[in-house]
Amino acid sequence: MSLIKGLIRDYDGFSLNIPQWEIAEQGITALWGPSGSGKTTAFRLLIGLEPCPGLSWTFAGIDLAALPVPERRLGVVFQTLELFPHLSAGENILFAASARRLPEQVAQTRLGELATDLQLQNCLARKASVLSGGEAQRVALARAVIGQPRFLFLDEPFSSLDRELKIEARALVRKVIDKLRIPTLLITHDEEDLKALADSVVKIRNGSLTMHPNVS
Amino acid sequence: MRSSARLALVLLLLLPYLIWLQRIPAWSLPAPGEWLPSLLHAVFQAALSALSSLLFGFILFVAAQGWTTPRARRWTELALLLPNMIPPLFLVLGLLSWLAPFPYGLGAVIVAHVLLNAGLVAVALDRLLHAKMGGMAETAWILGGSRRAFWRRIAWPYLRADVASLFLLVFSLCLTSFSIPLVLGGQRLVTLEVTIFEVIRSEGRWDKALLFAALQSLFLFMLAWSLPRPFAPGTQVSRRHLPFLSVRGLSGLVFLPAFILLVGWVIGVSQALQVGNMLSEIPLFEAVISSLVLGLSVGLLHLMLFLWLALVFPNPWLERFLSGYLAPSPTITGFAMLLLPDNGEIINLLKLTVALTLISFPLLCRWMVHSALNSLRQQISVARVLGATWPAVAFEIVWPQLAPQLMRASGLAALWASGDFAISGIVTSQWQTLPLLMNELIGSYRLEAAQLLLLPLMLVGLSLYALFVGATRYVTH
Repeated sequence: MSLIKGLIRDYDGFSLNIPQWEIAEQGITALWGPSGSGKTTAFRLLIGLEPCPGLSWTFAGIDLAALPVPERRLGVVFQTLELFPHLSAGENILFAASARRLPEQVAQTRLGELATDLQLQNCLARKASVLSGGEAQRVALARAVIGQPRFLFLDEPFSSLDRELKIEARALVRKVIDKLRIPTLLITHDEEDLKALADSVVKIRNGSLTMHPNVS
Repeated sequence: MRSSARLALVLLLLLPYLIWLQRIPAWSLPAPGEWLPSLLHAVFQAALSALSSLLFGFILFVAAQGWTTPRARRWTELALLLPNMIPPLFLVLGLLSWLAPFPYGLGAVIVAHVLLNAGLVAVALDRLLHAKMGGMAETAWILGGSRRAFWRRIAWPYLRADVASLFLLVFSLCLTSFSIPLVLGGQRLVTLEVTIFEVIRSEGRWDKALLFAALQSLFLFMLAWSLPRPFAPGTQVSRRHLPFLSVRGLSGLVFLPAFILLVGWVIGVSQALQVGNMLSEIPLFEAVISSLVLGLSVGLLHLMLFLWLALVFPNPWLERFLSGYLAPSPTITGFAMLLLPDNGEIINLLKLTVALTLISFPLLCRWMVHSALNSLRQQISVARVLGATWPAVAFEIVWPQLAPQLMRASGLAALWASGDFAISGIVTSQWQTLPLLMNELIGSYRLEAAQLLLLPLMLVGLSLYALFVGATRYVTH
């Protein structure tokens, strides 16, 4: 288990108050709650996108919160995906590989494997701006995991997909995460996501965790 | 009805050119040798100024990333935009205090233009980055991308069209700049505006001057239209926390332009105070009142034109025109008003008000109003579908939401107008404002006395701005 302490922050009219939280170091943990409950705030503070004085996150014996953001070696898929639209799908994925300083040959091998696993072979050369919703979502996932992150964050990753694509995308995500064994925090308000993906569920309401992590 | 109102607005903005076309008795096309060197010289100055402003502005942008709290951001933004918000006379006097004898010429004009525009570039880059690729920057940061890789592979390829638009904006400001090169340019005609001014004043060649102005406008219009998107730095964006873009040790640099100006003023005013009482024979009270009245009338006319624009918005043709029509030549505008019959003090005030409004309105539209209007486009469509009339849209949907922004823009126009000396000097000598008085004092080598007048001028400008901003709460009801 990784241990988070001091995930506490006051904003205008909202406070996030999670003094302590244990997250499994394997499988998919879901942070589940309605809109405005503090899911995204917690996720942004954990990643380090917003300052959170007093936060510690002990993962495999290392305090990740004490490290600069790039050195935490995290992977992320935002709700808006944030692909670089002027680069091709392949270049988007390889950007993350070169950012993690993977040797060229290793990066190309991993790109090939991920393209196969996520069925991206036919769209690697296409600009990100012309990809379909499902393709863009898979490219964002491949970009997030190619650098072998310590931990993966998925922020409402399926919200922009229609029902059928969601089912397909969930299956692919499950397959890739199981294969690469990357511990994952899934932020979602969709109960279907929980049923399909979550190994454990944590409920958040009004900025506080309300259910024990092991209750699923 | 709306199309007539739209056409009338465009014709009003083009009024100086229409007056000229009607009033010039005889036309003769000057030989290329008469105008080409001036044009090339002006383009060279503007390109160098714009490029230097962009480079220094980028450094200021990086420096500004070190300030992350909302309060610090507000102050740094204010410091960065300060040189741009004050009338050029402040900048000129601020600079003149630093060096004696002052090195007039091309270098001085470029330094002044960089001081004037670099902060604007920094703020514009900041808003561009946060609005268009804040999420991408966060992603690159989390994924471990270096600052260099982010700029080279992500930001530059993605933003270069916007940077080109920004370059054009600064280039056009430097090309059409009038008061700064007039005072700091020395004997060299470093901008087309000064050339136009000299052509009319020394040679009396109105047709040649109009040709210069038309060339200048055409040049800017073509550049604006050839670029892929209009640039509007006025948009407020939600900022993200991106410390990886900052460089340690550079943060203090954001205050450099404001520091140079403020310390320049302090030096100037303190020198003036040491000399003793120099204002006894100067009609200070009348000049203060004249400046206040001029600023107030320019601000009010801006407000009326903004409302007019709100009434005829949206329209693709008008929007395209406004994004291409950066500003008319100040000299042409000034002399066009001079061509109109001279009928006393009030008419002269009106002419001056119209001239100053026609010069600053397109720029303020582009900076502060167009993007705000754009953000209401959907709401306007919904209101129209629901059956609202255009006046109802303008006064019930647009005005209540945009009043603070429009009042701020009008206040800024009033502040600028109160500090104008170049156009006022052309249009009328009857309306003796503080800046005209200061310009006279500079011309008669009484720099200290001119510096001392900065204090009342600053008070007048700030009072006008505060008046418009403060009135927002009353006019929105």
